[in-house]
Formats: sequence, C-alpha cells, structure tokens
Amino acid sequence: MKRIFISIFIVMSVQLFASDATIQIVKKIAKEKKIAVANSSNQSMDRSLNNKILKLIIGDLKVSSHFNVATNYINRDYQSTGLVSELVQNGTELLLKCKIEKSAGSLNASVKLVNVKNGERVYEKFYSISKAKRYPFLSHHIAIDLNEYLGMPSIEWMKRYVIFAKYVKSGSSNIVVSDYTLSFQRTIVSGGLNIFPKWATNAQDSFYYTSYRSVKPTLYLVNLFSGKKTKIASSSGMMVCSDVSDDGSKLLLTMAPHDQPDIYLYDLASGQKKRLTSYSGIDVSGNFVDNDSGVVFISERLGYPNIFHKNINGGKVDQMVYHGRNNSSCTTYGKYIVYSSRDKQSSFGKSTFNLYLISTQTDLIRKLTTNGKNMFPRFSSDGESLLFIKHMGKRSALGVLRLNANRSFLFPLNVGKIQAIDW
Amino acid sequence: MKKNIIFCMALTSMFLVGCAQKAPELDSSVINTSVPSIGSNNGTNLDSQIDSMAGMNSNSSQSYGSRDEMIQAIERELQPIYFGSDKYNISMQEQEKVDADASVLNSDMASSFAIKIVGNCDEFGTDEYNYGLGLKRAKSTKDALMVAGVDSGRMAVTTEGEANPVCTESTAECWQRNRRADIELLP
Repeated sequence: MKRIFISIFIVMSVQLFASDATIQIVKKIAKEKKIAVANSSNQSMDRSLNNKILKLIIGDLKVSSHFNVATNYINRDYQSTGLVSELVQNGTELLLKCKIEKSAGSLNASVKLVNVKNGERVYEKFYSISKAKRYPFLSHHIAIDLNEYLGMPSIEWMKRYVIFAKYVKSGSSNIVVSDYTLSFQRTIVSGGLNIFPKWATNAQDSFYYTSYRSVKPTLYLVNLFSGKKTKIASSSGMMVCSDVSDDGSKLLLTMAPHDQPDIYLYDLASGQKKRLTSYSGIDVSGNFVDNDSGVVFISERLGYPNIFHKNINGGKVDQMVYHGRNNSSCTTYGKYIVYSSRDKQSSFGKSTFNLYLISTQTDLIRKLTTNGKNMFPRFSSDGESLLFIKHMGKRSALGVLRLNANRSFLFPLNVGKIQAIDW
Repeated sequence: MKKNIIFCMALTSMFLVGCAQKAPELDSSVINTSVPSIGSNNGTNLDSQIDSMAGMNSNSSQSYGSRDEMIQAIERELQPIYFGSDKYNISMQEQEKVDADASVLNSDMASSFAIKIVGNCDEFGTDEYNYGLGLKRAKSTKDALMVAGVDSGRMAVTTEGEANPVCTESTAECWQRNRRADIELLP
C-alpha cells in the first residue's frame, strides 16, 4: 500500500477501448517489458470473435500497467520458429502467440510466449471455455497467467465480477453482472427500480440490492447461483446497503424509519439494528474502517456533504476531509479514503467531480482525476486499484484507476446510465 | 401491487482449464458460474386485475368512472414543489404552491386518500447522498403540508434520487425541473 501513497501524483490515462482525449499522459513507466501479441488463429476462425479476444488480451496487459504492449497485434504462424525482424528491430522482448479455435461446444485458446531475441519458447498454455460469450474471461485468464508467470504483481482482480445498476428508463433500473471491461454483461434483476447492488461475500456468490417494488424500499439478498431471494429489511423513505463487514455478518444500512436518513448497523444473525448516527439532516454511505470497529460516512452536518468518522461503539463524530465543499461519496481501504468532490464550475457552467485520495494519518491529498464527472469510487480487494463511474452527458463508463501506476482506463456502457457499482 | 416473480434464465457456466501442452495437466482455475435472472413476467395480468378491482370500488363515485380516474383528476391539480441546487428547504415562492396543494389534498374529493411524497434530484450525483437529498426534499414538503393543515398520518415519504427525471436536457432549466417533490395519491 505504500506504493499507492508514493506513486500517485496526477492521473494518467491510456486510450484502451474508448477514448478520453481530455486526459493527458504525463509520465511513462520505466522498466516495463516490451511485448507484442500475435494472431496465430486459422483462417477458418470467426474473425470478429478472434479480433475481440486478441484486443482484450492486449487491453488487459495494458491495464496491468506491467508491460509496454504494442497496440495492434501482428499475424504470425503458431508453429513458426523464425525470428521476427520487425520486432527485433523495435526492441520488443516477448511475443505472445494466440491461436483461437472453435470446436463443438467449446472455445479453445493456445498461447505461446516466445523470446523475440532467440525465438525460443518460454511458456505455453492451453485454455478451453464452454460458452463463447464468456470470451472476456478467457482473455482475462490468459493475461493473469502470463503476468503471474513473469513474476509481476498480481492482477487477479481482473477475473472478478463487477455488479452494477443501470438506469434503462425513467424510474427503472436493472442489476447487471459483468467483467471489468463490460465486454461480458448479464442482466440478473429487471423490472422496476433496482438500485445499489452490493456483493454479500468476497466469493461473489450472493449480493444485496434495494428494490422499490414494494410500498417501502426493501433490501434483498440474492444467491447468484440458485436465484434464491431473501428479504432482509425494509424501511419507509430509504433503504440502502452501503457496506458489508469483512466476515459478512454485519451490514451498514442507510434507513429512514422516521423520514430521516441515518446509518444503522444491522446484525444478520440476530436481525437487530443499531442506530449509529442521529443527525437531523442527511447521514448516508457508511463504510466500515479500522477492522470494522469504525464507520466513515457522508454527512451534511456542516451545511454541505463531507466525510466523517465515528466509532461503532459511539463517541464523537470526527471530520475526515478539510478540502472541497461537496464531497458526496467515498470508499475506504485500510487507512486510505478516496472521495468524490464537486469542484468549482468552469466558465462554461459545467460541474466537475474529481476523485481525491487521502490518508487518515497524514494531511496529504492526491488528486486522482482531472476532468469530467468521476463518482462512486470503489477500492479493489487488494487496494491497488479503484473502480469508479464516469458520466459523460447521457452516457456513463466504468473507470479503472491503477493507483500504483498512475493510469486510468474507461469502459463505456453502450446502453443506459450506471447508477451504482461494486466489485 | 406485487409483481415480483423470480425466474431463472440461462445457466451459464465457464470452464477454464490451463495445462502445459507437452505434459497435459489439469489446472485448478475453474470457473463455474450460473447467473439466474430475476424479473417480472406476469405484471400485466396483475395490473389489469388491480385496475379492475379499483374500477369496481369506485362505482359509487358521482363524477368519475373509477377511483383511478378520480386520483388522476386530483393529481392534475397538485403542483410539484421545486428546490434549489443541493437544497431541501422550501422557498417562499414554493410555499404558495404548498398551500395550494394542501387545499386540494384537504378537499372533500381528496381527503380520503393517503398521500405519497416522492423527492427527486437532478443528474449531479448518482450516489446515496442524492437519494438522501431527495428524501429530505420529500420530508420538507411533508412538514410544510402538515403545517398547512394536512394530516401527517396520511402522508408517507420516499426518494427516487435522480432515477425519475421529467427532463433529460443538460440545461439549467431542465435540472431545476428535476429538483422537485412530487405529490401523489394512493388508492
């Protein structure tokens, strides 16, 4: 985690699957292995699918920020052993040959890593996937395994599911499970207003979400595999599961049984609720911190939304952020807090929301984004990456920010607008 | 109205097996995920039943064919209450609308209905705070209506954050129209 603190300076952006032209690359990372990807598939292979898989592998290697990867793949026979002069000349060190094949009931990939300097094979693996539409995970696994083989820091998070709510029309939103690039998507809850999905376990086998189908907003727990849906609690006014404790036994809920949004600690085993805040204005978005002994939350008790802390067992409320006048969402990892802050409007009247990183133990602030509406930050499970929502007019995108590499990537949602995310 | 029906959609599973080509060996990296779907598939039938029941209940009404029609007629008289950016206090200008709405809600035709007040926000913010802000707008409207003589026991509040815009243009006028509390009647 120290690397987070040392390395984050100004967010860098690399164009991947979408362009974010207003974000500038300000720094190059040194000592990245120079690698190229080769298309080694037969002519009979579905060209569109083949292209998607290869582009995703290239994208994954870029997002890892551990490689200097060529943007376009080259064509190279899988079995050929000769040197590739163009790669030798431009200093490429490694060539990843990928041969994608479709067979009855499966999609197969053979990958071979070749040392460009001597043409020797240094690594080879075979993959098979039963459903072609899950090809993004095939690409992610290829990148993860290659990254691991070469001894780079883990990028296991790439194979985790992202769960998000997206507005499909006024008053209606669906819950969708996807990969981190949005290349794979499956709608799992639809009909009515379904918002604020939250994984219930680290294993991502179940999730919470709020449904507006009943008279009162109601929190449900859904098992992703069996489809079993369990009502957890409901509250007049508002009901959101903001966070789940590390062991999954407790929830931080925002409820309003007396028309006032406040934060409650909910014990799943006993069903007991404990009110943690009692401000007469707005208290929302509780996040567990300090091994679940404290809660960081958003409150407008100073007249504008800002970030505060309180021990679970009571005591005074402490202001955590002394920057900005509209800090309306946050995420925590250890001693670090990332929050979204509404910056001053530009002369064109456009508001910007940027992400900032602070430590609870120092006064330093790092600005992570520089433009647009960057909201709803969520730390990865290893704390080295951030997922966030970037709104662009009527559209929105998933943003991935690699904290220790100072790079961000955008993955636009083609239809709908993202409401909330978790991963 | 209950339309919650669970149905399972495609069973989707993915098996990733990695092995060295020379000496085949099963890798342990196996994903086996089935993702069922939840949604509604008979909402229309339930809707029509409820509509039908509501119509039967309102046969005694003098002016309207159904209770729903009566509700719609009353709701046309109600005005949304608008709020400033990031605000949930009711301005003097909006107070006049609150008073007018209270008169409608306490009229003979409307006084038997329960009331739902829904707070809404503009597009700035998709987070919980936006939903909290919407709730406070609904609560402020409820309190103002109560002061204006509407029985608090008739009123319930909720929030839909930025989920229910009446205008989707990126203009100041449009954002203003979305920062509002809607007053609805419950059958």
